[in-house]
Amino acid sequence: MTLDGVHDDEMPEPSDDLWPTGDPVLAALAEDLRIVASGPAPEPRPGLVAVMAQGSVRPPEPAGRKKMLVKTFLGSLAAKVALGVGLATASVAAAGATGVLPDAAQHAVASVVSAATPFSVPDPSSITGVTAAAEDPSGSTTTTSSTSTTVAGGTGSGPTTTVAGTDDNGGTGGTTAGQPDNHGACVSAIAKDKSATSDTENHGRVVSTVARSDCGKTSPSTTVPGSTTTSSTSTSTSSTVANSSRPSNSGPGNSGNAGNGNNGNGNGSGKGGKG
Amino acid sequence: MPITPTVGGHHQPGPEGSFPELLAAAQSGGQWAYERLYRWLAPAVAGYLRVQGSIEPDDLTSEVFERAFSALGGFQGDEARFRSWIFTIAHHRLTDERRKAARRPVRVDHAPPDLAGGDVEDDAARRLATERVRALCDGLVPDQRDVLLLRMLGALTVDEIAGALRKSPGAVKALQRRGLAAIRREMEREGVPL
Repeated sequence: MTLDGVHDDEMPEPSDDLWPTGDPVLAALAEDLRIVASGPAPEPRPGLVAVMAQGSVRPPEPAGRKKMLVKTFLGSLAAKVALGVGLATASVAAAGATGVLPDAAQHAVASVVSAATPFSVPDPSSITGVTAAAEDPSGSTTTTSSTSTTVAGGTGSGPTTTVAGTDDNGGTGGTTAGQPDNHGACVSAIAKDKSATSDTENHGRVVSTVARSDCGKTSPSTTVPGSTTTSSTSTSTSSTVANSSRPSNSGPGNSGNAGNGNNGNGNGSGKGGKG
Repeated sequence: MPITPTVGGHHQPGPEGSFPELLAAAQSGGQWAYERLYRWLAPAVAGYLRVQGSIEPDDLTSEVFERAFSALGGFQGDEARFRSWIFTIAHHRLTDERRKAARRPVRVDHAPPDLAGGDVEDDAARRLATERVRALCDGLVPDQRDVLLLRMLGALTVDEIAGALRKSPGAVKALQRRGLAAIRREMEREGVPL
């Protein structure tokens, strides 16, 4: 309780924000500070002189961070969408290259890839055509074209031997569908089939050529030196894929070929023998 | 030169001419406007940095205005706000300088600051005043010194100081009150002539 009858805690607190006026001590300090802040401006340094001379001012920044955040988000969103589309495209292309897409999608991918790139992927529409031909009861030779191993006898005079997709077991044993990697069976088939060559010497040469080739081996793209790959090879390759993936499509007459130990061969078939 | 009323009844000089016109001219790239703005506030900024013990107050003053002028296109506000903005930049640059000096200690020459103004008498008075204020501020806690000098030299409000020092307004008020009390005690003890 003060003399005025007012408690200390009842006195109004002085406002801290108000600078104490009329204080002689602080007035002396304020006078010193006024002197400190007076006088000429220091000589501007070269960096500042350059800024003032250029007269160029940085453009105003956006009103708030909100705008910037929205911009950043949209930018990253576009990047994410682009990345997603790219990944999806790559996935479809990869699936198309392996041939696991449904027929319609596979056809679309094959069309796009063949049109836009130098590559090609399996196209079910072309396969279907071959299969249809293979199913033609009158066209027994079509099965040959789909799975045969063609060994050109050479350039020019050499005999050309076309070996049908028969195997040691008449298409039921030895080599079945999905069992193409058998070089021995391939060579054996050539060796046993003497009907294609007229004389023993040529037959031996053909067998020798086949033995040295990649017939029945796993590598699909290996070719015999000096060989030529004809356009029919492509057809043969496609047909092989069709037959291997859809064995049920092969007609009864094709059983020997559908199974065909030439599947592995068909990939690299159409080889020309030595001249 | 026009006079702008500020804290405590004492006055801070204003810029030559109308501030809005000056600002608009500077924002349009007028070199003369830059020079006027610099002549207006550079002495006070240099004095603030000098009293705060800056190693190179004149260099730092140039750096402060270089930064401010580079970003002037985005500034909006009146004269008081511009002054507050400049002193806030000055304080941040001073903090950076101290931080650098702490990492790589620099030998500081404690000789009286070079204040070549042209008038010997004025230079002497300024040097003495600077030394007196610096001696007074040496007895303060750094935060109290920052608050009082920004308040008296920069004419910043409590809220502006709170923003510059990243403290609450209440803390700034407390620092101001204690700092003033400490200065009063010190001046009374030394018998400073009033």
